[in-house]
Amino acid sequence: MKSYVTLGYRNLSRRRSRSLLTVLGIVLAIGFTVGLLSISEGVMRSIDEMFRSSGPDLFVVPKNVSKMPFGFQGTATLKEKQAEAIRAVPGVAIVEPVYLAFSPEGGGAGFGYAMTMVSGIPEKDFFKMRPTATLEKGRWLKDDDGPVVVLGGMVAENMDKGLGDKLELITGQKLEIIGRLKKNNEAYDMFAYAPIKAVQKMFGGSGRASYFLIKSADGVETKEVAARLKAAFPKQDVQTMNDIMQQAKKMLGIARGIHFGVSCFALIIGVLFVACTMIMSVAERVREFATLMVIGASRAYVVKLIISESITLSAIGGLFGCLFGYILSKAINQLIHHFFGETFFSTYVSPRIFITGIVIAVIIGAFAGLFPAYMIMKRNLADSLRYE
Amino acid sequence: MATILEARKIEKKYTLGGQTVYAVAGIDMTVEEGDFISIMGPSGSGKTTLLNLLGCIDRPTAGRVLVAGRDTTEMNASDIDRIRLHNIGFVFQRINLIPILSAQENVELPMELAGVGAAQRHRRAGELLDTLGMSRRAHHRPGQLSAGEQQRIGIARSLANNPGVILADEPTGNLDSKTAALIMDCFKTLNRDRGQTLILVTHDPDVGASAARSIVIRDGRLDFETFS
Repeated sequence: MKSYVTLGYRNLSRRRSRSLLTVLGIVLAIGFTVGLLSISEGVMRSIDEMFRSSGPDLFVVPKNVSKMPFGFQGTATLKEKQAEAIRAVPGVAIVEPVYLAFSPEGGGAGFGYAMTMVSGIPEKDFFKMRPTATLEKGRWLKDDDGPVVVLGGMVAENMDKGLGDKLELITGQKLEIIGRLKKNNEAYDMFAYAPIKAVQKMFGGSGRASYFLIKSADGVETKEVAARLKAAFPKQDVQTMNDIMQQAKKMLGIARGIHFGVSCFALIIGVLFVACTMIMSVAERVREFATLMVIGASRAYVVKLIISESITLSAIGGLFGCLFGYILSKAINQLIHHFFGETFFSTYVSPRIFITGIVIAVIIGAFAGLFPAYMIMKRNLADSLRYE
Repeated sequence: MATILEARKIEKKYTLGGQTVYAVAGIDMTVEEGDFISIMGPSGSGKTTLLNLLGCIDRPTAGRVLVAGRDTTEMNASDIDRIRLHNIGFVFQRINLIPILSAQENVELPMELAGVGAAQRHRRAGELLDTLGMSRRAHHRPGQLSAGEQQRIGIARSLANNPGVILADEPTGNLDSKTAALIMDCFKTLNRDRGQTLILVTHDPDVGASAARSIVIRDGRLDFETFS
C-alpha cells in the first residue's frame, strides 16, 4: 500500500475521538442528503412505474388546462357525444369520457388528506382500458345506477369505509359505496368511480365531460394517434401519457433541486467539519510534514498525504452516511404511511443515490484537505523544522 | 577524493525591522568524500542556517551550493526534493521520527519515497538497524523507544538511500552525556568503517572534537578551521 495512504489512515486512528466525531458529522450530512434525495427519487420512480403501466395512453382535454388532465369540478366543458367522433379516428381502440368530481374524504391521489378524485365514467370498457384491474369486493357500476361509487384500491385502503357506507362529495352530495378494486399500485388505484350519468345529474352537466381517456389500438404508435386527434380536434388539447410524465417530472425536478439545495447546507457543514479537523491535525504536525519533505518527500506526496487523510475520513463518513440515509428513507416511508396513509410513492435509495453520496463525500474530503495542504506548502521548510 | 558538497560564497540575509541581517555571510566550503566535519560556533552564529543551505532545506540569497557537482541554485523544487532524497541524509536534534510508523517503517520511508521495491527496502532497513544495534526494536514505535534508541533509528533513516553526505544538526543536543557518547560512536564508526561523509553542527566542544575537521563560524562568517 502506498505509504501516504498508510500514514493517512494511521494518523486518523491516532486521534480516534476527533476522527469519530468528524465521521459522525459527515454521516449526518450525507445521511440527510441521501434521505432527502430518496424522496424525490421515489416519486420519480413511482411516476415512471405508474405511467408505464397498463391504462389509457392519450387524453383529450379542453384547451389551456394544465398537462395533468384534472379539470376541476363544474368545468366539464366537453360534450360527451364527442366520444363517438374520437372513436372514429383511426388507431383509437377505446374512448372513455370522464366527468370529474371530488370528495373531501381521505385517500385522494395517494396523499392522505388530499381530496379523492371521483371519475364519472360509463360502465363499459373500464376493464378493457385497464386490463390489470380487478374487483375485490362488491360489484361494478351500471350505467343506470344512481349515486353509487366503486373505490380504487388505494382510496379504499385509506378509508375506514365498507360496502354500503357513503362517500361525500365536496358539494355535500353522497355516493353509496358498492364495490372496491384490488390495489395493484397502478394509477387507477387512486380514483373512485361513479356512473357518469349520475355524476352529470348531480352537477347539472348532462351530456358533458371533463376529458376523454383514450387507449390506442395494439401496434399503433401513440404519437401517430395523437397527431390524428390533434388534426381532428384542433379546438382541444391532446396529451400523451409521455407528455404528462415529462410534465410531472419537470415539476418534481424543481422539488428535487430544492431538496438538493437544502441538503447542500448539510454538505457545507460536512466540509467545514472535515476542514476543521484537518486544519487542527495539520497544524499539530507541521514539523512532521517538514521532516517528510526534508527526507525527500515531494510536495505532491505531502499534498496527497493530507488529502488522502481527509478523503479517508469523509469516505468512511460517506459510506456510513449512505447506510444512515437508507435507514432514514425507510423511516420517512414509515412516517408518511403513518401520517398520510397509503400513498402512490415510496422513498427509494437507488444505486445512483448511493454513488452520489459516496462521490459527494469524496469531494468533501478533497476540498476539506486542500486548504490545510496549501497551509503546509506555503510554509518555509527551515522554519517548519523548528516549529513547536 | 571526489567533492561531495561545495558552497561558493553563500549568503543568507533576512530583513528584520528594516535592517538587513546576514545569517550566513559569504562562506566558501568544500566537502570531500569521507570527510567528517563539525561546524561549531556560539548560539545565533548561523550554524544551522549554514547546514540548511548545504542540505538544500533553504536557498541562499547569494552564492551557489553544488551537490555531487550539480549546481542547486537554479534547480526547481522537485529537483531539489530529489537531491535531498538521494544525495543527502539528515539527522535532527529532535530526531523527528514519524510517530505512527515503527522503527523499521521509519527507516524504510525514504526508500519508499525513492521508489525502492518492498523486498529490497525490508532487507536494507534490516541491515541498517542491525548495524546500529536496533534489530530487536525494529517493530517498536518511536514512543516506545528511549531518546538514544530513537536517534539511532534517525541515523539509520538518514542512511537509507545511501546518501553521499549526512548532515546532523545537534544530534546529541537532547541526549544525556552517556547516550551522546554512544551516538557519537555510531557516527565515528560510520565514518571510519564505511567512509560515510558527515557534517555535524554542534556547540559541544567534545562532540566537535570527534570530527577530523572543525569549522568555527561567528556572525555568519568562517572564523577559523582546525584539522586533527
